[in-house]
Amino acid sequence: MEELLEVLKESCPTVDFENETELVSGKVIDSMDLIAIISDIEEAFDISIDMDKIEPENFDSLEAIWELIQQIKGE
Amino acid sequence: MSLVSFRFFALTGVAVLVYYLLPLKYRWTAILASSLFFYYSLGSSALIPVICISVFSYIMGLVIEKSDESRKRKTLISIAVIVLLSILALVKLSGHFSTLSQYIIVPTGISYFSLSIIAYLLDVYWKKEKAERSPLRFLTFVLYFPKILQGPISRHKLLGEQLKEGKRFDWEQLCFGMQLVLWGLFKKIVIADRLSIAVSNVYSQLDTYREHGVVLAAAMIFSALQLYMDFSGYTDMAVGISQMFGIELEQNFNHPFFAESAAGFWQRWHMTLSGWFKDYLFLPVSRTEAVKKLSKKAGNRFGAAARKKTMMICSTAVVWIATGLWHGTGINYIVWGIYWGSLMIISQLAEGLFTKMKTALSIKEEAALWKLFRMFRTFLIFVFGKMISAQENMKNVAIILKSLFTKLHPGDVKMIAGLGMYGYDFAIVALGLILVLIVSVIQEKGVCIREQTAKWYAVPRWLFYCLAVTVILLIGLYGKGYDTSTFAYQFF
Repeated sequence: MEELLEVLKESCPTVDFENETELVSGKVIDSMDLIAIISDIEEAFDISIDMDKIEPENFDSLEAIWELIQQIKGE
Repeated sequence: MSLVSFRFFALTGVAVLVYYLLPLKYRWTAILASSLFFYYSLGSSALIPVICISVFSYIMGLVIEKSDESRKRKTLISIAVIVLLSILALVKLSGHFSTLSQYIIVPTGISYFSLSIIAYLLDVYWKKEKAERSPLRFLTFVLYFPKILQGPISRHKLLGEQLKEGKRFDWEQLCFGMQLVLWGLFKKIVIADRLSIAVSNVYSQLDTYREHGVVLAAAMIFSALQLYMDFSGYTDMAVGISQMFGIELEQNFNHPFFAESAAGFWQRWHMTLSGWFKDYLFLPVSRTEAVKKLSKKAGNRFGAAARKKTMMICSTAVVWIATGLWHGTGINYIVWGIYWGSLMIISQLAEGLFTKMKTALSIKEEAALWKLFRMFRTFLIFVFGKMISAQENMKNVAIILKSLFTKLHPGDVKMIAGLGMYGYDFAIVALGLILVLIVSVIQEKGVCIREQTAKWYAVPRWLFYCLAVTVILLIGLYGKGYDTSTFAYQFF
């Protein structure tokens, strides 16, 4: 999770990823932030996030993103 | 068959009646039959290409879903999208070549149903929805008669599911639907068709009015208002007829003239088109390797904000050129796309500067006057854009621009009265627009007027409905001598 937090902070330095639980649905990050985050995660964790996984609930919090990464790695 | 005709309303009435008489599971067949009949009435020859496109897309949906191999799926979706876009491009470009246009049948509504089909296929490919099992139900989704001419650009996920499950009769929904149809009809035949007389008068005789900037400015404003009344009027009718079947269609307008910025405007205007471009072009373009690499380079050099901005510029540019081309392949549509795209990009890039300016000028974001100013500015941006897209060529745009800056004589105001609209027409248009404005303000506050009127006692409520129908019949422009058969967005 620490590695993910580092990646996220590099993508969007001003966002409080440790405490926010509605990153997308609460419009804390916009579509451009989201795309930057997806691109960085794909590169850092060597995974590919399909379009069907790009739903607000999968990116609303640090935990949700971490869960998504584990799910994709397990597939 | 015109949408504003007794035949169309008779068809709708029969379709609604048969729909509710059939068993729940088969109710969609009533819509299929009426859609086929309606489309056939628009031009019998176009029915065959539409059926061919539907069969092809139906099969592709099933094949994509059944395929497990990622590479094969990618090839299949690429073929499907390329074929559909090629047909659309061929139809759109045929207008430029007289020899080609002789051999091309232009299926009505192709710009709208092509996007709906592409969205469906991409959703199946991205596993966001299941492929449609019934070929006839898929054809009903494509040809669905209330929306075939000008959208909304419906998603299969929403409309397909509702067609499949069938809807139970609901008196309130039927009444709400009829009220919305009436409201749409009011906007179209009472306001839009009157304004269109003056607009076509000016734009078709540009040489006569090139010395009168005031007349051209009035025509530009009339043209923008006419488009809104016409297009949103059609959408109200499409949504209203669907409601009579108990079917919910996507919202296409949300009081766009209350928007305070260009970006805000497109979140309220033709929402299903902007939503389509966001989901199926903006996001995929942003995720392409080329955009990723370019934005990363910018990010490494200038920081995270520069990376986001590069991504935004690339995707916005592609989306707006595509939006322009979707509207038409003439140079004016490409300029129109660049115009809107540039506004979007500039407003994002200069966001920091605008914030500083507002702070320096002590402007309060919530001040009513500031909001009104922003709304007016957005309206003018739209008026100017509409003028570009309404001209046959860029030479006419240049003529109008020159007149606006060099031939503005206040004395020409009285010429506006001689544009084919009588004093009586101006009064009706003004009252109509005031009514639309009042209704919009009430709706913007979250009040549903139809729900409010439904609470009235039966006698005053029905008297009100009868009065509304009578007013539309008395002051609407229809019948012999009026071309109400066409809607402004029908030919895009």
